[in-house]
Amino acid sequence: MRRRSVLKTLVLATIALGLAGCAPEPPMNVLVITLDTTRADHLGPYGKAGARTPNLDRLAANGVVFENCFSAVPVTLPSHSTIFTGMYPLAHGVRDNGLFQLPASVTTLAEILRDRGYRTGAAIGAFPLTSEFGIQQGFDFFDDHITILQEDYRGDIDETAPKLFFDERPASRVNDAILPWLRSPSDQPFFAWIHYWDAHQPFLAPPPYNQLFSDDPYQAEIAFVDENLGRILDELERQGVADNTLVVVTADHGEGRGDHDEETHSLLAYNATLHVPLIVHMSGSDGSHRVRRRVGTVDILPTVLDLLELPVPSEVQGHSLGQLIRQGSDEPSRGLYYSETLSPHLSHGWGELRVLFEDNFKYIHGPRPELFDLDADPEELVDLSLQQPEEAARMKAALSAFLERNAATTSAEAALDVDPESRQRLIALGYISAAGSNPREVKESLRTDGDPPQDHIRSINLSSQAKQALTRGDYLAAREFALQLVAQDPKNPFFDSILTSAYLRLGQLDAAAAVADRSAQISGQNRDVFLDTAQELFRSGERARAIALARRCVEDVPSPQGLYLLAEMLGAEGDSKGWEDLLGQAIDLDPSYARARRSLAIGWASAGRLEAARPHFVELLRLEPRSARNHYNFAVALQASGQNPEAVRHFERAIELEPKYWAAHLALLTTLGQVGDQKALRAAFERLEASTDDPEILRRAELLVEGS
Amino acid sequence: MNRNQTNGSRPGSPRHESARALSQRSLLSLAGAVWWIAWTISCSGPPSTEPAREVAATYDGGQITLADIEEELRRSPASNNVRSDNFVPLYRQAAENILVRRLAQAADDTAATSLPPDLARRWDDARKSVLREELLRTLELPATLEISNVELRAEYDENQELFARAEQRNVWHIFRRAVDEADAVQVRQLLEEQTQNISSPAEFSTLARKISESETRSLEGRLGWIQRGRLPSRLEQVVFSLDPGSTSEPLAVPGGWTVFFVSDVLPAHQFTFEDVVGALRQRAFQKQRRDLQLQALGDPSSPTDAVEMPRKVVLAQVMSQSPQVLLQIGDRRVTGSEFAARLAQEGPPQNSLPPAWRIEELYDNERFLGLLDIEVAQRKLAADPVVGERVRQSLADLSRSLRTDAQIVRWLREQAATSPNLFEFFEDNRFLYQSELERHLIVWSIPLTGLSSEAAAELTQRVDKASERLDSQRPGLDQLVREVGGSLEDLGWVKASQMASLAPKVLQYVTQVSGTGMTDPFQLSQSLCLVAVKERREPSELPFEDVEERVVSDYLERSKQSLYADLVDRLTGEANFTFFPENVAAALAPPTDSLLSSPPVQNLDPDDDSTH
Repeated sequence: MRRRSVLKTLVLATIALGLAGCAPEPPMNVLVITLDTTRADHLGPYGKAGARTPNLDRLAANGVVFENCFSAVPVTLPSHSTIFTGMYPLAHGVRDNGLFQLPASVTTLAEILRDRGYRTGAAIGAFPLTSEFGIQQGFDFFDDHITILQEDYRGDIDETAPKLFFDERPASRVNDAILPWLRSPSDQPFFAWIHYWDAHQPFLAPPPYNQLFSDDPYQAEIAFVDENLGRILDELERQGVADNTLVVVTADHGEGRGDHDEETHSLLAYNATLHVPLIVHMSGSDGSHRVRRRVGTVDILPTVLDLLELPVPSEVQGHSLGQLIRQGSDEPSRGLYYSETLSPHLSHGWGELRVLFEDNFKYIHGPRPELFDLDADPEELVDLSLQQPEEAARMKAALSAFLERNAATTSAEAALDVDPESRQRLIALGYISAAGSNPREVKESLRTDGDPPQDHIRSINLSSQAKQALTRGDYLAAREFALQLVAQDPKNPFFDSILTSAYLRLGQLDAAAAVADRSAQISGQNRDVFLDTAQELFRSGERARAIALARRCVEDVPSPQGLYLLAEMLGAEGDSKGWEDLLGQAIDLDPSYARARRSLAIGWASAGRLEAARPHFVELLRLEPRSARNHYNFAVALQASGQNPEAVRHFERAIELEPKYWAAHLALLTTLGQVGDQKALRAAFERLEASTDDPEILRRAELLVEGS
Repeated sequence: MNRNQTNGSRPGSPRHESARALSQRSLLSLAGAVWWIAWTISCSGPPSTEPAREVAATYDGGQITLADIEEELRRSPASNNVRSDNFVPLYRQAAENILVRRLAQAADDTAATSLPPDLARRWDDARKSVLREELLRTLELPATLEISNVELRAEYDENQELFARAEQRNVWHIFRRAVDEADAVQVRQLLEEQTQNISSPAEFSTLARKISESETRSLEGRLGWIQRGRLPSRLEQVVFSLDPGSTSEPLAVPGGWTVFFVSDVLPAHQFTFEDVVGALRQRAFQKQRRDLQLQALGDPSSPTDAVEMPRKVVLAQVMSQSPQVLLQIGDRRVTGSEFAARLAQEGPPQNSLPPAWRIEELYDNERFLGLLDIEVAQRKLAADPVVGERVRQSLADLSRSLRTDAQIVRWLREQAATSPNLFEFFEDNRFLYQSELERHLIVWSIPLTGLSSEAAAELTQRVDKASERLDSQRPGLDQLVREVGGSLEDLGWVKASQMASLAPKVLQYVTQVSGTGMTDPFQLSQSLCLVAVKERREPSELPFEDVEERVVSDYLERSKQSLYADLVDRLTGEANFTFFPENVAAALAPPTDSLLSSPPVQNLDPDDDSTH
């Protein structure tokens, strides 16, 4: 949980209250609820038979239902960035999960409302929206404590807790986080954002929903989310603020559920993943009604500001739907809307997809453009791009013009240097992948390069099977799936990485090495598994082959781990220059990479060059103050340079940290013997005697004591 | 008292937050007064005594040393995060955890309460395990076990067919009902027309969502990856003859017509000896070791009252998750469903051993442990003073930690039960406190023994047709018996949680009935069955009084961290806990020692993968 300091809040609140005193009184509270991965057509208000969504139904019955709302991007972080900035991804710069951070320069709804005297609070349900990705800006209270399910009462991660896809928490836990904030007394109006992740895979709804929808766990999750949404609506009623709260319910994107072969979302741009719910409830609007006009999630920010009678910033690209809400009017207009998914390109190195909706047509630009007439073909089954080339060309030109008009990209600013842990997590989930492109190099143009993502969707489903097999330890099944994948796409480094992992885990080193040898491309994704292969080759005695493979990995995609591994191999081969150079490069790349420093420190000390070893020893103790090994090594070096009292101190510390560190015990006895401190020597020996009954250790200890 | 020491509350806790807020407000508006008060206290307080360097915290009646904290951190994943710039709060938190545990131990010693049943069982299991180890320690076994590749190869060759993975196909289908002959013609035509141009799962699934009348409609018609043996042979033949991306002709099935679509094929695969040799070796080692150990114990035989089953029976009963006891030796007793649960818990095989071998392995191991337990009892090992002392020592930490943890959880539970937020929590989560979905089930069945497959298919068709006409109430079912024969068994009201005890096939069919009504007829063992869901009791909200225990447990589970933070606040306050950050800082400060020149240094300790 991240809370701003109370002091800062007080100061901000004072400023805000001051501002509120000058500006018109903010008319009402604002509650935005985003339902992750929720298809509009699976909700009661959108006609889903058998859906259990009584709370959405009651909201819709008294509010305005937008029947044709489209997400700007079927990916969680960029889509939420659009919802809260009123800008398309090409303007706010966030194009994918994990690789981008909403830039501080962009103004969010939370920032605008906070500056208008609102208290702002949010609770989110999953990793892609944690504060490290910038979506928290403007919120005084932002609860992203999503690992709580895996923690024990002390807050320590419980290793036995089930591991999920993403770190996430269910809607009920999100409510636990936001309700106390919502209930805290305040004279200020509030802006709350609640994000429910549950409808995202894996589908694990609790009873009774898993029983009621035993054949459709996705629908069970939606029912569970609705129930929790109901708790929030009930709370507004209980507080007597329901009539003074503008409620907006929408989704970041839908879910493929097999439509166009897409099981989940993010890789394709059909309406299964773009058509989302939008329900707005505001007392005082002209009764409940439904709006057929095409709208977008990009319109949400200007709509909220308009309904609050606040000015809309000029950079906002969406349009207010306030008129439609207030007056109940509807227009046949099906204006121009833009969507995109750059995930296939950024995360997999395939082509990217950009979409333009205009009138009855939807044009999807990519390596294989498609054109659909949504009136005649709402399922998007018949591609008209070849039958109606003029229409396709017109739509393409309109899309191109749209990009030109709106291309104020901040993508480079938003591109994030993802930390290795997050990156690994994203890779493990298949969110980013082998041949992924550099997020800093997004170009706002109509590209046709790369493979059509449509052609890869089946292999993505197959690779998901392979990954599951690998995760559950069924390495033979993983190998079979991976062989299929490699046969389909021999150049895909991600598929190579799955196959190599399976071979390595099966102990089939030759086969693993053969994959690495024939793999044309080493990327961020297959590099680590190829480095594992190199290490195994080295251990098995195939040193030249191991060094060649590790060198390829290091040259293609340098990493501190790779440089360290290659350095150690060269060191073992007697190439001390290579060893030193590579370890230096590893430290340049990541100054906190302790292994490289330890190797250098030990190497120099072993060579009698303590002045070169010293800075590394010191830095190691700063980086890893609880490493018994670091204290021991430093103590050994101190002892060698005749500084016994200091050496004793570090040996003692090493033993304190690791009581069964026998080498430290014996070295301490040696040092105390040299110092001649018989009392301390006896105490150290007794401590050792009490902690082991290993006769060999005790024999050596006795010799040391007697020898002194 | 040292001026840098800090008192009381835990970072992040409400108490801590309010203390922080108070101090910050004080700084803003009352800085002078606060300074004055602090100065007055420091002047008028007791004479300060410097704590010893190794003391990290004190409390009434004890102290916590740095070594205690290091020991605590060794057990905690938080220790991985310790860096030079963040260690003070982590060390403080560790010291607070130690305090809570020590006070819990003291409270437990005073109360001398018994362990909760689940922890008692864990303790008993651990005790038995230690005693078995003691028993095995005394045995003289060969230092190394030899298993040659030749033996393993022979075993592989002998069982080669077990190491084959069957062909798997990703299958989809659409089903349409046809009530009579005329209807059948129309349905067949519709399916033919609609599926003739389909070549991708996307097209097929869209169509399934539109027109299928099967329960799989909500899954876009997906049957998933299947291998031979899952479908009736006639349908299987069709499905396994389709090319990937192709659709079958419409096929007549009971109650209507179906078409299949195959999207992907994973061909059959024979695992080579090299693929499985590791798993074979591991299995052979375990078996040989167990045999040698039993031999050394004089080949103990099972007691006369033991329950053991032939391998084939074990296999069948585990596969069907039967409640039958398959093994009972001493107090070790395992049913078919328990074996199945253990297999499921282990997850899919991490090696390539055939499922039957995994079950066999599990069974043999359970039997082995049962025999050892009996040996331990017969030799009165626990009564031996030396062994007894070893067992006591081995279990002392576990016992202590289980009891301490139980005491902390008792405290947390007390806090949860008396929390003013408990009822609010209940109100916020009312949907969790609902009665279970219940179904009144009646099973109709008729034996199929002696019937030819054609006669069985004809009977199935008759039952299917009859079931479409008749309702799921008793008169309808009685009518079914009159028309087709068979018998009825009224299972009464079955709760959702009890459904798992039904045969998996029954469960699968029943859960496909969304309201009341009848399942399609299906074969179970040697009978044709059909289950009628006569009535349903939908879940309804229960009053607080009926579910209070559960609410407390859930509130404890959901709020354990804040309840624990409150507990820490209370206990640190009551015990006058004082933390000395400067002592911790001194221990973790980066070194200032300098290194002088020296000859090459020996005996350094590099990383395991380093080449030094």
